[in-house]
Amino acid sequence: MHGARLDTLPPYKRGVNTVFQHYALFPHLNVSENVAYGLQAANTPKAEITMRVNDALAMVHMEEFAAAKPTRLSGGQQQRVALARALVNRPELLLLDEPLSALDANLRKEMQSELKSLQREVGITFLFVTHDQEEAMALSDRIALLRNGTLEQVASPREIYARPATAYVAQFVGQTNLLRADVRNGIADCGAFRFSCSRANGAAIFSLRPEAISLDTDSLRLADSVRFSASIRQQIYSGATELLELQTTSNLVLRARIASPAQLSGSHDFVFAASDAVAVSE
Amino acid sequence: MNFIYSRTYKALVTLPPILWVSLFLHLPYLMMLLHSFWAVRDGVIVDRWNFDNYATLFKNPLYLQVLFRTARIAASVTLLSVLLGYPVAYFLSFHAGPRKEILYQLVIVPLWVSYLVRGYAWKTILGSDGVLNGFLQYLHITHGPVSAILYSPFAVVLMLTHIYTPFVFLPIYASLEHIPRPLIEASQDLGASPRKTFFRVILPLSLPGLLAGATFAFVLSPGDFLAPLLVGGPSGTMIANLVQSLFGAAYDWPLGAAISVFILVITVALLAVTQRVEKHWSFE
Repeated sequence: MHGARLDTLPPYKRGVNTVFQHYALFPHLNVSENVAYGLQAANTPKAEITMRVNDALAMVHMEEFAAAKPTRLSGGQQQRVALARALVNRPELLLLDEPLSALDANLRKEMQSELKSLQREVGITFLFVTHDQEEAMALSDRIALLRNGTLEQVASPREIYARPATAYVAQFVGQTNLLRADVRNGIADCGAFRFSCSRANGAAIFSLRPEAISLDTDSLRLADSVRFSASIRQQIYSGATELLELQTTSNLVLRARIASPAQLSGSHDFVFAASDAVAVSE
Repeated sequence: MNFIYSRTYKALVTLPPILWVSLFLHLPYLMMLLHSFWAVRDGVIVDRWNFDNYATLFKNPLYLQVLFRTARIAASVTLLSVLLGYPVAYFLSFHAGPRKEILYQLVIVPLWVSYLVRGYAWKTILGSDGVLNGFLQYLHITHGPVSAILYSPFAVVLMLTHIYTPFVFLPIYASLEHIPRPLIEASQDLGASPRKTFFRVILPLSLPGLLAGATFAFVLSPGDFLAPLLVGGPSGTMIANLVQSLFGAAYDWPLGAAISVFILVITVALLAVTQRVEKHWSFE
């Protein structure tokens, strides 16, 4: 942080506060004592502690529970107290270690939007650890994607989705088709079809999102359109859209997400824009 | 199948233990209570109701002196057992790592050794030609055997502390083991130093165990009569030895019963108080 190493400092000197996965509230202290804990550890004057604790509890709408013991609170309320307990110290960085994983789906969505607006309000950097890609996309300004302890890509959610750096990122965030192609003079050939690209000659992998593929109707005539025909192996209905599993004549299997048509069967023509096929590294 | 849930079955199952407890616990307590109001006349116990036994207990300086000594010894044993047991439990719970299991067994192992064997062991250690005296002379700290070590209240405290430390250790260790480790991480994360973390999180959360262990030592050690008998000598006599002699050689059951009732009342009161405090301190 600020160019200084954190991992060599003892935890109590790091200037980072954490919201733990299971909140880790102190059971022998009440809500306001829990929130005051960090300030007391820093020997803050009593009057200031009272004021900041009240502010922090107001921020998470928990003022009325100030005297309650944590064990009496619901999961969402404990979550809020844990947030207040960390934020009251005005850390330079707030680490949230899968804070929503213990909540049920509805409460989770609610807390997600609360967290986001809270972050905008306090202006502190939140480092949010999650295994839920959707949550990461919804909440982040910047996503750092880790695989086995090494960084795969650091980028905004939109960029990570639109321009995944590696095949792993492409598959991990949302669904995708990975096309293994052979590039010759700016033309990628993956057997079933060819498309232009800006890669050097040799083997390459491209990520093509299912929603980039659509049924070939005459209304779509873009300059870099790539057409192919394929038979439909499976059709999975999901309301507004539909996921098709396609098989080309050269046995390449692709998935396409299209606006719900009627039941399809047999062979059809499909199209995608060559620019939507993003080259990724292994 | 339904028989298991029938009244007859329940009665049949619960009757033996109820009988057992009544016959061998409640009845003797009742007898003791009655005896404490009786008297001895011409070497015979007669049911002449009076409070003389209780009056004697409070008037005779011998009994009061021994009572106070007993309380002092019990308090010392409790304090020492906690001071020894807590750090051991703390170390085992937080810093022993993979050696935890074996160290735990090592703390428990003395409980397998007979009480009497341990008593005689202390006799050989503390006696005039014992290990301790030999060691002190070897170091030229003393120039002859010191006989004052054995047969003193100090020896009694030493032996009882040795005996009760594992009992004090166990509940403390259990309560430390039950502290969720993320709480300690949280405390450090909030900027508390290890010392603060100990005093503000670990110690308060282990108080119920500490109290249970301390109560154990404080309630059990006054009832001990073997330790004073083996290593206490005349100056280390405790209240249980008096009761024993009153029921034995002195043949004054009523006075012995009165003393027993007095101790019983104090003990029960103490247990009631600690139970309340413990409840107040538990965080479930």
